[in-house]
Amino acid sequence: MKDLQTFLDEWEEKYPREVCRIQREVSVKHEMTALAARLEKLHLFPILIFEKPVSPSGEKLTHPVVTNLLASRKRCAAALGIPQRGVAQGYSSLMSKRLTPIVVGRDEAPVKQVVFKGEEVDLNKLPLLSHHAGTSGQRLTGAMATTVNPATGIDNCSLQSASIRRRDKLTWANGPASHNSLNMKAWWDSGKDCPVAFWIGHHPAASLGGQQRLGYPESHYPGMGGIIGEPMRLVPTETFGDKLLVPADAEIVIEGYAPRDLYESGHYAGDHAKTMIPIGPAPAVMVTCITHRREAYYHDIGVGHADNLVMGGFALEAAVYEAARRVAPAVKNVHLPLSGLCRRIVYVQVSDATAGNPKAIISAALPVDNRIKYIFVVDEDVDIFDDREVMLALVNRAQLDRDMVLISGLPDTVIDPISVRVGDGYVTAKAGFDLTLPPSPRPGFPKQFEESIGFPAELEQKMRVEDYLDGDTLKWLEREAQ
Amino acid sequence: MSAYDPKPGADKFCFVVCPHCKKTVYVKKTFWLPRFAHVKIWCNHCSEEFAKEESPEVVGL
Repeated sequence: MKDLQTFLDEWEEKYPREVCRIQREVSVKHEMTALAARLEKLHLFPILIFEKPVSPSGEKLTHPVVTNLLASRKRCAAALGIPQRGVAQGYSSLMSKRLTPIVVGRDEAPVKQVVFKGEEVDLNKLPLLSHHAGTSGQRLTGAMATTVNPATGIDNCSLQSASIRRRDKLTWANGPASHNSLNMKAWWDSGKDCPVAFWIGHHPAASLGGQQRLGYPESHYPGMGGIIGEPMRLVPTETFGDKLLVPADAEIVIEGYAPRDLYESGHYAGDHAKTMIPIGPAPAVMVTCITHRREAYYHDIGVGHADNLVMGGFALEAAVYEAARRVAPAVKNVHLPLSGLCRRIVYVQVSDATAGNPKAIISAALPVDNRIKYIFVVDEDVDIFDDREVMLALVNRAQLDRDMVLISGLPDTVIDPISVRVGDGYVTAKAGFDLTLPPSPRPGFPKQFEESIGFPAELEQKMRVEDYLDGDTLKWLEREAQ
Repeated sequence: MSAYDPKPGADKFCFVVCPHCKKTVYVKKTFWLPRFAHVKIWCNHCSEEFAKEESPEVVGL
């Protein structure tokens, strides 16, 4: 059985320095996120466990906070059992697996060990973080919001944030394009309030599996099971019974309902674009019940930082890979780099693209997700895991009056600070760049282009800097490079 | 969109001054859509709520 605690135990045993348990008191207000951000600047992405969180007013809080869990591409790939340079293909292959979830009784569900209902519910006792300066309150960010379609009973899970308004009330960032929003509207159109559960803390593969791009309505649980490698164990909620199921092996579950047409002022808070999203109307959620494990961790995701960005890119890499391969089997690999927020910029690597392939790939990949904004198609000799190599290809290999595809008015999200609002939606101009080399003039000849500088393959293979520089110098240089 | 139009970021939100603490709050213009007419704004500086009409100043609407 896989869950957050089994993953932490395994990872800590394998890489003890990558799990940093911080024993001093640390405030949930800004301090935890600031530490993760400082480490990120140093290109360090350890799991951070704050054993003694304190509230903004200095009150000691019970549950330790786990954050930065998903900040490392290496760790996320390892959690899925796929190579970090082969996420597009690996995640794509995992997505095709479906394992039907199993429903267990509440006595078999660790998440039911402690139950608070009605007047006992108090969100302020959970160590919800207030991530950035100016944020108007404490916010759930590592929670999978789960709803069901009232007609079909099919569930949807989505990583959506929610902010505390009072001890039993949240405002919910349930954007209009999300499947949870479609479910909520369906409940409201039938004259009923919308049941919702936020489940927090599970094996990283469950969080990564929840990012799959699915049709509507289509349950995430079978796909999560395929990705985690075992059926998800589900348990009925206290409030809605088997009409709304949540993972039995989660750390914490918050249950409630979104009253019909009740919107309140949302929060001023950061998002993946690394900007603060202005306050807007958001659906309210009345919390009816909180359940958790006896020794539950609270899982936070550092919004706008690697913790938030890396994990969101995995499913997109796979989705772009599949869409691009459909029009051009020459596609070898896809990467959504951290520099492009793992969402906005896509690097596609092709081998021996035939005429028109790069533009066909761009046309196929741009509509895969509203958040994708720029696509760079490069040859196999360009390392798509190194931004500098792609930028060099942009400089050396493109005449933009013929090699750039620019499309105005494509769907975007409010999170893009420069997007344009049209009615209830958002649009932006998007572009693709064909950075592939000209073809060879005749079969058997190289491509008709100047050769890149390089070194003999044999020398490249055997050269190790440790053979030339002493350990202290090397360490000093590495520190300076940061 | 012409190159002479303002950059588009500006058209999504505006500034309202909180009547309680007098500080500036960044809000989405969707607050002014008819279906959200009744929704009060929650100031991120002082945590007080106020109706749009109570704001002493709205800039950039």
